[in-house]
Amino acid sequence: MKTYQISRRKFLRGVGVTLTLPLLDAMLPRVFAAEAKAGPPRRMLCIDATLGLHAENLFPKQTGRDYEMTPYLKVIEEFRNDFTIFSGLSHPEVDGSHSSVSSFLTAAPHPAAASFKNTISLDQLALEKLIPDTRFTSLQLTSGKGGKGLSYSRSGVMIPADDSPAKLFRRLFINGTPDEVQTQMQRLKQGESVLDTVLGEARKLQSEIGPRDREKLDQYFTSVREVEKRLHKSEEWAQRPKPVVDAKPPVDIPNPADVVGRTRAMFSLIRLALQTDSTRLITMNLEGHNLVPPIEGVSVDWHNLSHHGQDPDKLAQLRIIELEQMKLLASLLGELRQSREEGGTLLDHTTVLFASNLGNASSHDTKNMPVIVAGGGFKHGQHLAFDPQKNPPLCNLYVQLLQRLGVEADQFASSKAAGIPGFSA
Amino acid sequence: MNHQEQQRGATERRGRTLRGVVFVIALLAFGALHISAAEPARAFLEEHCFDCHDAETKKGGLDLTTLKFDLAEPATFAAWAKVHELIASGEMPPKKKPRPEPAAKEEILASLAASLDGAVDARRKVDGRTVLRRLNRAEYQNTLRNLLGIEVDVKESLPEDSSASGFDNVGAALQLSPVLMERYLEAADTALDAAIVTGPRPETRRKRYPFIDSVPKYYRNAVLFDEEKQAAVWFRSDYSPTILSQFKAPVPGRYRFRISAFGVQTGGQPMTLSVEAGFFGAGLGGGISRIAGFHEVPVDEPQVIEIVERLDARGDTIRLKPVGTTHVGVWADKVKNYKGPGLGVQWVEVEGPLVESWPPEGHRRLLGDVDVSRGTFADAEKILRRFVPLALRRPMDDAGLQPYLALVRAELDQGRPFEQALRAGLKAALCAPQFLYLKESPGRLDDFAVASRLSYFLWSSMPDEELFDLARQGKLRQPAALRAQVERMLKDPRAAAFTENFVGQWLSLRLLTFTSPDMQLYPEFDEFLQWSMLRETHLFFEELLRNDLSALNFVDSDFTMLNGRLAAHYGIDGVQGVEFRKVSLKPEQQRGGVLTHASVLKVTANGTASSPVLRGVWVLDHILGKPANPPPPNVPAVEPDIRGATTIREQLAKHRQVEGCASCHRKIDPPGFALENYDPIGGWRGHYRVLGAKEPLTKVVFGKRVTYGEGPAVDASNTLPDGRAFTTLRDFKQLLLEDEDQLARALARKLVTYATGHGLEYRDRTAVELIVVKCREQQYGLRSLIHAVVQSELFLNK
Repeated sequence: MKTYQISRRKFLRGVGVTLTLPLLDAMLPRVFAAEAKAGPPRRMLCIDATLGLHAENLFPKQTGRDYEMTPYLKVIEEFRNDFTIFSGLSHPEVDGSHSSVSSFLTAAPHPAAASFKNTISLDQLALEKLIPDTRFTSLQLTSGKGGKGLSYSRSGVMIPADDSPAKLFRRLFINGTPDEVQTQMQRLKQGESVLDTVLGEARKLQSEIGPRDREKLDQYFTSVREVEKRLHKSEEWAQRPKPVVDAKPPVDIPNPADVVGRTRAMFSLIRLALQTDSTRLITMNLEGHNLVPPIEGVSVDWHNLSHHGQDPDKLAQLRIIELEQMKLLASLLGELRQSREEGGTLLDHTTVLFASNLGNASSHDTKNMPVIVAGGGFKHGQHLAFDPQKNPPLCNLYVQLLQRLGVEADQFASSKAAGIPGFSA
Repeated sequence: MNHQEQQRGATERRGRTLRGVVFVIALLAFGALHISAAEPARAFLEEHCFDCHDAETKKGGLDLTTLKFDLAEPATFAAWAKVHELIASGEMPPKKKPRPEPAAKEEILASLAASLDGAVDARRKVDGRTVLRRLNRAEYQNTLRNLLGIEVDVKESLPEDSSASGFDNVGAALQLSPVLMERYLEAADTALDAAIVTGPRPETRRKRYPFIDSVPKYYRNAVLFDEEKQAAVWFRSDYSPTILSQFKAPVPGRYRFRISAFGVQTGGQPMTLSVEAGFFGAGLGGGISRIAGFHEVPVDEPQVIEIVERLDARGDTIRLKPVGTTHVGVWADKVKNYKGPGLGVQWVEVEGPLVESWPPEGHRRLLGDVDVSRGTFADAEKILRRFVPLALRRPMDDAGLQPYLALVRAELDQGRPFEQALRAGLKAALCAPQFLYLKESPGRLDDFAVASRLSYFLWSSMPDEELFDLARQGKLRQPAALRAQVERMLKDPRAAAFTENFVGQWLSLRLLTFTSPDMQLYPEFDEFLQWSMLRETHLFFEELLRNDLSALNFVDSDFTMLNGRLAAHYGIDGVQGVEFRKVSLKPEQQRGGVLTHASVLKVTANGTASSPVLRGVWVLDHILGKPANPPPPNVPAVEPDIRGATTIREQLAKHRQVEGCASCHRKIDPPGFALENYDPIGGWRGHYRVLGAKEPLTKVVFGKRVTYGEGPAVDASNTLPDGRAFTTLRDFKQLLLEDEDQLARALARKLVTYATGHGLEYRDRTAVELIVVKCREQQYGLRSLIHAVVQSELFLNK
């Protein structure tokens, strides 16, 4: 037993470089080819406003390029040629009211069903295909509390989201003292030894259980091997200095009701993380809640307002909150567009998906989702409308977002086509 | 249903028991005889099914003419199991079509059942019934705490678990991902940091803080200073920045708080106050806090409340608020002349952190007398020899221990300090699959697997020494031993996890805080009420469990558990105070059974309005055990209209005119409408409340003025799909109680799912039936039901 373990460790350590080489080989041609053509890396940011956006204030009446601005789009009017608004899209068979958040980036059917099992999310699939060589392969963020995120691993497990901008800033940009780096290195190395031992234990267990349980245990093997790789990579990154940014470390806003303040802090970090190429894939849960947001003119809790039942007073208050969300989007787009990099702006190289899992929050309806795509080098400026009765799958659009990142994909989850007619790069 | 009615004649019961047993034996016999049964009689299918279910019509997407009889294929198996179920229930062939001959029906059912069961048995021989099950995050945390004798909070750092068959301890739904594995490594470090202490004993301090000093400057003109009592007095209950800001916990740990408080202008009544603990942001709403409890103090006479509370982080403290007082600001000059009720607080004394022994019990249990600053390999071996088998919940020989020892030795050989090397070994045990998963082998479970099943069922944690002892002696699986252990375990404080996790999911109580009601329509709703709602249902469950009262009480009971707040909410007189007690109910009080608990009525309400659809779906699944099919895609949801223009009944009537909707809504809507007399916060209503009425009504509930308009009258009547009509919930409950076995069966199925970590399949019906029979023999006693589940073959086999 002992000899075996040491030889395995030696293998990992000694051959560590060669071990990662096949991966590098696999990714080099694609990434390099893409980068050679397009310059800076391509990124994707997916945001879900989980309590919806009141359709009447959002969707234009006209389609095509010459649509008239609506109250919500008015807020981002200065980006008119940098975004496209889609109506009449949704995930087929994704119902289940608020549970549909879980399927926002995965399109897994019936999220409220007792037997629901989620599938891989758009960003994680891109990550698997591209294996970006960045300090963080992806980031999951939330404006709420409790770590509910939008990203799901291949086995359908939610990746918890960060809710503290202060902690995230530290991880992204603050270098540890030499002692701290040393301790971290030790823990990482110890982690590798521990994983060696438990893999041996898993092999033992494997021989003692039935075939169906062995299938289940496969997740354990896959996870441990993946974490081994990550620990190895973390060791490399732990020794490289972090990027220097000209920004003050953010202070966390503890009030969970303050969705505007908390989202704004995250949005600023998103720009910094993308600009420094610390990551290329970010998902952000703009999480609704049942508290009263501290915004002038709002006196009823948000979730309650989303169930307005056509009550005019509630609709008015809801509009105030949703306009604030649109303003946040406007300032994010502004920051991305102001950051120039080789070959254009950061916005040109970042696809921003801003949408909601609910089409009509008042009735928990998941059809006709509000969807805005900005940046990413697409040709924008239109309202693309589809049949409100028979929505085409939103995943048709997701395929295009994947392709834009450089993923060779012609299908994702429930997609029926590899794109949306009238929408192109 | 009241208890007298439950006590039906002994003769009748014997007859029913006998029938049940005969039925079960018949089922078992068929299973045994027809292991290799052939394809079901084609003649029956041709005569009764092919009309609609052929390649051409394919009704319901089912073509029986081409459906293979390959039962090893899961989808095909499921299709034939459904065929059996629908023929057995009489739902198919449909009512309009000719009835099959009873004999022919019996024959096809028996042959189908035998084939289906045979196929399942073959698979279970290899795989067992359950799927390898990972500890969920609550179980993981409890296990770490019991194993190491520590109080860490690691649950929140782990991703939320998903659930299947209604519970988050079902193996099939519990996945493992790289992220989770990373978090397990980190959580193991956190746990070991807490377990292995190196510093000096933290100093326990005691200090008394005059409360007035903690009131922030900007709030001082809303607070009176009572010179005579040297106390801060204030009136407002919702917004209250009355945090004990003079004190901040120097380290995480347990602290004793002694609060000297009294009621003011309460008209002689005691005053209720809430104590919250945690971190409070500056002012309103911020921070992470939880309710530590509600307490009562007498009017004008300061009384000391003493509580011991764990503060999870440095800087944590408590907040005090009056309950049920005004929601309007009382400022400046108004304060002096205000005549309403308020709270006075003289001082708060804090003692802590409370350290029982140093090094703590957990540290000594783990390390014995080994000094981690200079241990040897032999010390590590001694520690691991005790720890690893305990962590992996099984005895272990030298070979089994070897990998852990080898790891520690390798670390020492590389020159790592003893503590680091030892931690590597401990950490490996805490990340080993034998720790993270419950290992069970196909067939009858061994004693250690049974010990774990029992402890994760009733405690959501690892077995204790007594269970391990019995397992080592090979005695745990004896029926008498199982019985004694269940009795012992249910009396243990750890059994609170059973109530919290089982009832929390069975009755959806975990969703209680998911929505908050419309504060304009339901201004009487507050945190105290919500807290009380949850307590009622938890205590009701525990009352039935403790006294082995009939599980039929869940559907209707002549008592409930109330405190003053909830009694006021229900309009029941004569109950005061924070403490809960058992209260007898009269029929006109419109309560009895969990369907009338405010908690259940709130979780089944749709956000701010109640929805008969959601409630109906809930009752069918959670109480009746006959879940409705999920809605077909592309059906718009019914949108509530709170302007009072149309009632939900009118909207649903429209919905039911659509043929595709009617077939399910005939089943869903009636139980939903039966609950229509209860509003979204569980209050009784004869009329819907509406906003903007010309002549609003006003009443006072628990000190709060409630004003709303009276909308259309509520009509709770409806007709069940089988034609039985009812006008009120009381009638509806009686209709449910006509099939007592079905209610017991529904609960038994939920319990078995939770107890074994696996949803019930078609094959399990006979075993469930035996549980139902046993439970019926004990007048459906809840404790007896738990025993029957534990003694069942489902529980004792993988």
